[in-house]
Amino acid sequence: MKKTLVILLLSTIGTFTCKAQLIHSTEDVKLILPKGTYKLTKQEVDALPGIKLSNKINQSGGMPYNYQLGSLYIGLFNVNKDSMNNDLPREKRFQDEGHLFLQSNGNNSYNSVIKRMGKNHVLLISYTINDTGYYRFNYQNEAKTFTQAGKIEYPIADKEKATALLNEILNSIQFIE
Amino acid sequence: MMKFNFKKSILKIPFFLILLFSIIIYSCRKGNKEPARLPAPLNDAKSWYESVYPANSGNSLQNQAAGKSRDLSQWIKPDWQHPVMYNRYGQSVIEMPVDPEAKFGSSYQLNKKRCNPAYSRSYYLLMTDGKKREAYILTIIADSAYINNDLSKLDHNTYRKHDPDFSGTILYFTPRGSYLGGYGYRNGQLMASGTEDTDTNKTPRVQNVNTGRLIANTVKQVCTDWYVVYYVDGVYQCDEYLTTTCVNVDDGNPSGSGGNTPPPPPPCPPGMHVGPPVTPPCIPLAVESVEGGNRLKTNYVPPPPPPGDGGMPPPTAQVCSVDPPRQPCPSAPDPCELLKKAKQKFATAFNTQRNADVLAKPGTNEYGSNLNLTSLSANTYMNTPITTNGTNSWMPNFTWNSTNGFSIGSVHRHQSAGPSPNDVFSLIDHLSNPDLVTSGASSIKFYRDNAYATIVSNTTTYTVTVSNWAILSQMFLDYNQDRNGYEEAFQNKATEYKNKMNLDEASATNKALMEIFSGAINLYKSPSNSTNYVITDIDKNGKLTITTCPDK
Repeated sequence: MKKTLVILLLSTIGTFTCKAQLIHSTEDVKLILPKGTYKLTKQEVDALPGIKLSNKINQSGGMPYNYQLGSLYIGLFNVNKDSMNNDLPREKRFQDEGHLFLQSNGNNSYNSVIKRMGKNHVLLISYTINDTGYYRFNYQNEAKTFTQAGKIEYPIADKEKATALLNEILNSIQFIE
Repeated sequence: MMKFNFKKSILKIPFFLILLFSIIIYSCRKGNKEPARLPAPLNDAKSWYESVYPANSGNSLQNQAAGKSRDLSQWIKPDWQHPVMYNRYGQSVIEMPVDPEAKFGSSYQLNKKRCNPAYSRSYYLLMTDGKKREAYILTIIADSAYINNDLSKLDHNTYRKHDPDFSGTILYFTPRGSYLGGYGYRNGQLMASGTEDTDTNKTPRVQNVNTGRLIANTVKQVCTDWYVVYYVDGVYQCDEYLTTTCVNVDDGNPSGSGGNTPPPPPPCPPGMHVGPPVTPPCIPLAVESVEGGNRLKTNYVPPPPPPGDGGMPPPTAQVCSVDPPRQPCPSAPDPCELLKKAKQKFATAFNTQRNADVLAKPGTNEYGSNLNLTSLSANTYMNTPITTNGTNSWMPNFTWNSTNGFSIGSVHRHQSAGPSPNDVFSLIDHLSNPDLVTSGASSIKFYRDNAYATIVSNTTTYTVTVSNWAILSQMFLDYNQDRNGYEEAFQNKATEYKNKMNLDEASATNKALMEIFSGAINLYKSPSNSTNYVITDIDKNGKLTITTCPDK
């Protein structure tokens, strides 16, 4: 009887304290999101603080997969398998050109780089606008046929957390080829 | 003790009699020649009335032209000796019967049926809010069922009060006889206003379910011609057509609330309405039918709310007016004509060469050039330099003078993307340039009519013009709240389209741009080094559209 009670107690405590990692999984990719991450509904995504300038500019389909970890927002696209979106230098040029406005407006925070991660490559982009930091990533397989793109938005005070989250995500990406 | 002297007293009697008789005579004469002095408010009202509605001899009722409303002020006047004064609706009201001297009577005639003038009473109402005076004639016509052979019941109904079971009609006129509108009562309750209805369609519409089978009944209209009829001493003098009202009937039963007297007519003749003219919406060129078949127009107007104090609804100084006829909607400007006109400025030989020169600059930095007219009357450009800001965005250097030229346009290079919000808003940003501002309205109009921004890439030339400056101005306010945030939102949108829809950079940015700016700008594009422009827009489903004009 005593043993049963102890087992029951431990199970209950375990249930409350041990939050499982969240696995983001599609037919093309599997990646692990840290403990405490939860999936956002469309309404929750719409309610996120962000740029609220006009309805027209805020109207978009948004990203297909949206998660939140504390103050950090994580957005993931579906894996791109087309040639255009698997051209990382081209994507870099597009993003570099699209963010020229920052430097023109005196914001020098923009940085972009294509890095090797093991056998794979990743385009990493970072910048800050107002009090929000942005990480954009395009993680590509060795064959340059699969790219997982996504972004992290974070309060600039939580940059370390965001950087750790970015690394955790990138290191966990497994393409299903 | 005092002694009574009969002889002396007898002599004094004739004197007293003469004095008494004289007083009586004098009093009577005074009463005949001068009416009793009126209280000040009444006296003011009388002075006002007689100045506004002076009685002119020779303009009697019978002498007035037929076909126009009779000028009642030439026939009747208020009975100033029997006023009732009170306040209602924030106005001082003087209510008076019609002076009995005229032996006036009025009632109405419905089609050919005249109502008994004995069931009618008319009152003058003079109202003032302390600033402005108005005069009305209120005619109360009771139903015979309500009177029920007791004419004294007519006295129970005035502007201030009515019997709880009053049934009849009240009509308001101006002192000159213009009909202002009326109300119907049934058992003390206001009825819905009568409505003019000229639709004569007879359409099966109502289903009779009493027999267990659905049988289409015929709904038709029964119309009533309204006349006001005037009497002197109970003898008919003349009548005057007011209007026609119609009600729908189902198998001979009025669809309204039933009863002997239809609701009173609207104040305005057919084709007119109360209030100032209203410009009707234009007739669209193509009308999508949402309902089939003939429909019977009912024009139901709900009854007005009861005044709540037991009196009659107030008159209103209504002005009848005719609306201007509906006109076909002006057709939207032909986009191809707009393109053709705009190309006269942005697709000259100079533009083509300058676009090519900008595109040919080495490296990946943005290069650009202002496109400055030599004068507002010429279509020639100054040979402005091609410049760069290095790794930053190229920024135009707007000028508006005869020395440096008039910057109606600019061209700069992009690597792969189409125009951005910054490129669009630069067009409106220039409107605050001091040289342009001080050059006057005609110069500013010239700029608005001709401004453009051209963006060249390796494959495509884009030109943006403004189609609606008002909309763009509103968007410019948003943009200026947070320019970086606005551009980031645009780039984010384009990135999403590129990733989700596998659109190339040009299409993704074009789609994002037109989703934001459609209706405010025109976006034209052509292959590089060509002037074969097409019109790019976005449809209601969010899809990019291309319009090719015959004369490209």
